[in-house]
Order: sequence, then C-alpha cells, then structure tokens
Amino acid sequence: MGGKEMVPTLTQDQTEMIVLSVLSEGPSYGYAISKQIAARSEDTFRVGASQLYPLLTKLEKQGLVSTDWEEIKSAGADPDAPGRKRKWYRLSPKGERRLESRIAAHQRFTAIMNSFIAGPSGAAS
Amino acid sequence: MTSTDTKARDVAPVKPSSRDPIAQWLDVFTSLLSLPAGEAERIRDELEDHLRTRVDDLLILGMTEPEAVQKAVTELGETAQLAKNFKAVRTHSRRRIAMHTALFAAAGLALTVSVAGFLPRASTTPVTSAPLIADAQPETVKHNGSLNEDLPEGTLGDLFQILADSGDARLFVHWGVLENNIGLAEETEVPAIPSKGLQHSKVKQLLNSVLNLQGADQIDARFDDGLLEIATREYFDRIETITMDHDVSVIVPSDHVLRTTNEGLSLVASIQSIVEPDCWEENGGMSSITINGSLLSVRAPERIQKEVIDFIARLEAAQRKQEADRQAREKKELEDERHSFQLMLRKSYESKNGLLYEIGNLQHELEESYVESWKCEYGLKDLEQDYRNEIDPEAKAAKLDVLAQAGAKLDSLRSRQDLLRDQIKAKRSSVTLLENNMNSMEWAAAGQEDSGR
Repeated sequence: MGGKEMVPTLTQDQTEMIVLSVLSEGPSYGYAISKQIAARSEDTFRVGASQLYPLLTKLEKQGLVSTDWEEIKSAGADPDAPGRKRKWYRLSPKGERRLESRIAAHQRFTAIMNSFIAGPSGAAS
Repeated sequence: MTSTDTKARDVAPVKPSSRDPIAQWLDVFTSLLSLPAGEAERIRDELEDHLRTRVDDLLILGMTEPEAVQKAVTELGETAQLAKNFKAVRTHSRRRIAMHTALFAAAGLALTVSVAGFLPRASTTPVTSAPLIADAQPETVKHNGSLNEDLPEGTLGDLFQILADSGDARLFVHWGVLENNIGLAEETEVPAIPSKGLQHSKVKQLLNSVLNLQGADQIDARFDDGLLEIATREYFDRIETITMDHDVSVIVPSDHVLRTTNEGLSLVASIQSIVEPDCWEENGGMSSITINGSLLSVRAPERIQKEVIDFIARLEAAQRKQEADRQAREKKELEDERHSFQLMLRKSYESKNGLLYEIGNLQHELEESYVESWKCEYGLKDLEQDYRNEIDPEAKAAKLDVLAQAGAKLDSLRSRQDLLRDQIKAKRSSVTLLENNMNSMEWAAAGQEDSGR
C-alpha cells in the first residue's frame, strides 16, 4: 500500500527524554544537541531553537542539568579580543534519575502498544 | 543542584558591528524578551552562539555569507516564538497557579470575556510608510463594553448574541465560514464563563482558548458602525489583505539597492521571522514582501501591516538611538582629546618656562664666570711679570707656585664655562623641541575645533 508516510511528532515529555539522553553521553551545547537529535533520528526529529532553548532553560531551573560558559574565538580572530560565549549543559544526578524514569515510562508505553498491534501477523514481534 | 559555574563570564561582552545583521536581529530579539537585563543578555549570548555556529556550518556547505546569514535567521522563524517561550518558562509555575484559580474561581478570573480586538473594517488605503504609524493608530477603535453577568453555559449563537447585546451592537456571524473551516455551528455548546463585570478586552483570545482554536483557525471579529461581525481570522485576513509600501531608507541607506545587500535580505528575513512567521509565503502563509529600492512592498492583512510598521519603527528607533549614541560618543572622545591637548599644552608651557628659567640661571652663572676668568687672566699677567722681575731664587719659586695655582684656577673656570655653554645649548634644543610640539598641538586643536563645529 502506498500513501503518505506519517511523520511522528514528539511530545514534550519525549523531547525532554531525548535531550536528557543526549546529555547523558556527555556535556553539550544547544546547537550541537539539535544537530545530534536530527542526525541520530535521520532527520525524522527536528527540535527547533524555539523548542530546545526554552526546554534547556526549564531543565536548568528544575536542576536537571548544570551549566557553564565557555569563551569561543573564531580562527584568525584577534587573540586579545573577547570571543562569543557558549553555554554548555551537563546532566545532573537529578537529571539522571529523571531520565531513568522517563525511559521506564516509555518502555512501559511501548510494551502496552505492542500488545495491541502484535496481532496474527506478528507485526510487532 | 543546579550549578552555574562561570568560566569566562568576566570577559567583556562582544560588541558586534552595527552592520552585522545577526547582531541587528539579536538586538530586536532581546528587546522582545522583556526580561531582566542579565537574563536577557545570557539568552542573547546563547542564541548568538547558535546563529553564528549555524552560519559557519552553512558556509562550509558552500553558501555565500549573505545566504548563510539569511538562512540562519530565516530558520529562526520558529525562534520568533522563542521570546514568548522563554518568558513562558520563567512564569510557568506562576501562570499554572493563576490558571487553576482563574478557570474556576470567581473574581479576578483570567477568562476575561471581551470583544476587544473587534477592529473596525479595515481601511484599504494602500500606501504608507513607517512614519505614518500615528496615522494608522486611530483606525484601531476598540469596543469597550463590559459584561453585566457571567456568560452561562449555552450555544455559541447565544454567546455571540450576549456579547453583541452587551456592546449595543447588531450581530452578523459568518456561520458558513465557521462551520466549513473550523467545524463550529450556532448550536455548538460552550461552557459557562464567569465573566461578570469584566471588560471586553480579551474575548477573542479567551473564546479561542476555551474552544482550543489557534492561528488562522481562530475566531476573529470586527466591530464597525454598530455591527459586530464574526468569522475566522483567515476570513478577515483574506478580505483585508492590502499592499503597502514601507519606506526603510532610515534603516538601510537609500543609495543601497536592498535586494543585493545583506541589510536588505536580513531586514526581510527579520520581518518574516518576527512578525507572525506563519503568515509569510515562505512559511506556507499568504503574505509576501517585495523589495523595491528603499521601499518594502508588503502584501498582507492590515493587522500584519500594523505589526510590520511597528517593527520598522522599532528598528528605526534603534537605528536613531545607535546614531545618537555614536555621535555622543564621538563628541565625548573629541572633548576628551581636546581636554588632553589643553592639558599637554599647559604642561608644555610649564616645561618651557622652567627650561627658560634654568637657561637664565646658567647664563647668569656663565657671565659671572667670564668676569672672574677675565680678572684671573689679568691677575696672571701681573703675576708673570712679577715672577720674571724676581731675582731671589726662593721668592721666585714661591711666585711660581702662586702662578701655577692661578693658572689652574683659570683652567677650572674655562672648563666650567664649557660645561655651562653645553648645558645652555642642550636646554635651548629642548625648548625648540617643545615649541615645535606645541605648534603641532595647536594646529591639531584648531583642526578639531573646525571639525567639531
């Protein structure tokens, strides 16, 4: 059967889980996080700046991530001139616990969904 | 547990060039944030890093810089929501409490029912420019009625009628548009809305919120000449779409051709990313912008035109402020420099006077030395004569000693005179140098006076 392929849309909880998951692999910054999400989902999921940065701010306010700043200097720039600033995010212990609970909830959800769609064709097996 | 370590927060903020389109966009974005300065600055820093890193990536992909900047800024179409989203994060918990109490509590309810935004039928005056904002304002006549009682649970038709009655307006609802486009009928049930005594300032927004309607599908209304007309936002947008020319020569120099400059492209991209991004053709909407010399020809509904006018006015204000700041800075630098010149001149005069005084003293000492050496020379001649006339060997030897001492004194005086002459010469050279420098400074100061006028 042909027809349009449905593009999955991320819920806010799923987006949070994905961002926390990316950060669980090491500190990162906004633009790199958005690129990594796009690359790992083969461009299926795109978390735009309007969604990502407020989410990161919320995670920071909730203590799920800690942040620090790095000064970035372009190649060939005046070494004495101030560079631009990059905000790095790092998963906090509280964030790790939140990620674990999100993953557990997601797995329960997936298992339940599979129980519905694993019909005679065994599509979900 | 959140820790905000600061590795490089003490560095001075980067002050990008005023011609930098990214910095211009960030200026506008930051002004939209309406957050405390420190918080807004941190958001700006983070977003600047995002934009510039994105531009770097696009350059690597082979885009030209103007293209890359335009694409990066255009991608922020969704980031136009960013300001709202950041503010939403900040006020999230407070708003959540407010919503809980507002929806179901009595007084102070957030569900303010109103007919605000019921604009009169738009004038179709097709041409305007940013300076004409003031002319555009009087068209926005609001319906200022208020409700005397809570809106009871009932049909949408009843609710519209109550709203019209409360403003002594006749009612015309485009039921066909509402039904075909957003599936709402006269009989659609609407929950009770406790709204007694509230002004009609947010009815559209609240009704749409209750019915979960957004974007082009929102219920919209116009109030004109005693008639309250209700349809969808898309409906009004279609019939109110007009073309207006916006003069942006203040923002972009008139001798530039907007189409081919960074400034022109980034201005269009900024408008499309900040003024209702979804309405532009590039993002699937109906509105468009055409560049024509220093005019932006905008085809859009009047409500968008007003936002464009407002946006351009803000840019102009920012540009004027930037220009005023630059002039003030230059004036201060000029005054500082002038003050510095005057200070240096005064010090030079003081140094020169000091040197002249020292030269005078040295000359005086030299003249006294000359007098003494003349006396010494004459004394020597007498001593020589006396020595030659002496025949007693002992007395002759004693006179020879006296003669030698007088000769040594004369040599010492002459050495001192050489030294004094050298010192006078060196100090005169210093005076000449100082005078040259002072002339240069006076010339420079005169030049500043001319340029400062």
